[in-house]
Amino acid sequence: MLEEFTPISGLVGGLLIGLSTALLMFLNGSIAGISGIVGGLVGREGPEVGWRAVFLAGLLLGAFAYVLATGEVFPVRVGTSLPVMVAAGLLVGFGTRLGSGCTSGHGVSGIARLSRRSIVATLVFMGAAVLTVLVGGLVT
Amino acid sequence: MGIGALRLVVALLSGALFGLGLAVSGMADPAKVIGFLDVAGDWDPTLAFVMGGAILVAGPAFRLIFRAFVIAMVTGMAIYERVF
Repeated sequence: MLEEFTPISGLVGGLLIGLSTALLMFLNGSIAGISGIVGGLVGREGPEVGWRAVFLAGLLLGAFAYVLATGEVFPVRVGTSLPVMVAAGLLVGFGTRLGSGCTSGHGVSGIARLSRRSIVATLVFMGAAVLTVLVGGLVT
Repeated sequence: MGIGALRLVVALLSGALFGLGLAVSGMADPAKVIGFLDVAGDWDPTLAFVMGGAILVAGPAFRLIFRAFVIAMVTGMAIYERVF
């Protein structure tokens, strides 16, 4: 345990995400909730799609900038097969739309506003995820 | 630069900060996330620090933003009543 624990980089990364969230709310009046932003690409039109597409492009650029700046390509370790990934992705997509948010929408923006709904949502999806890993570990 | 274009610039900047934050925090690696969820196994609490850091900034920022909004609204209404 704790060999992988990286509290400093975790915290700094979190501060950056918080800054991103504050900026988008302060200047654009929008919530930096990734599932909502991705979902809005399909469900909306015009400028409402525009800023969302630009945000997501920025997200990829930001991660790419990290690779350029540090010269290190961070690991992306996936332990499952492609079909399982597809199924999991569908569940995440469906669930976050049904629940109106995700780790960033509810977990950051929602909790930052002290929204009871977001606190509940975060506890539930985190709990469900923990349970899934637990059961998955017992089954395999 | 029009308001529309400005909103896009802000979206781009905000997105870039978010992406950078994800990369720096290690959360772009699914294994790091699973590590946080694997409470019974090799538990990695890093995700809690990421969310904590984000809320630490967004929390006070939101409060400031909403307070500024209310002040602007109240001031606007007061001026309106005085003028009309």
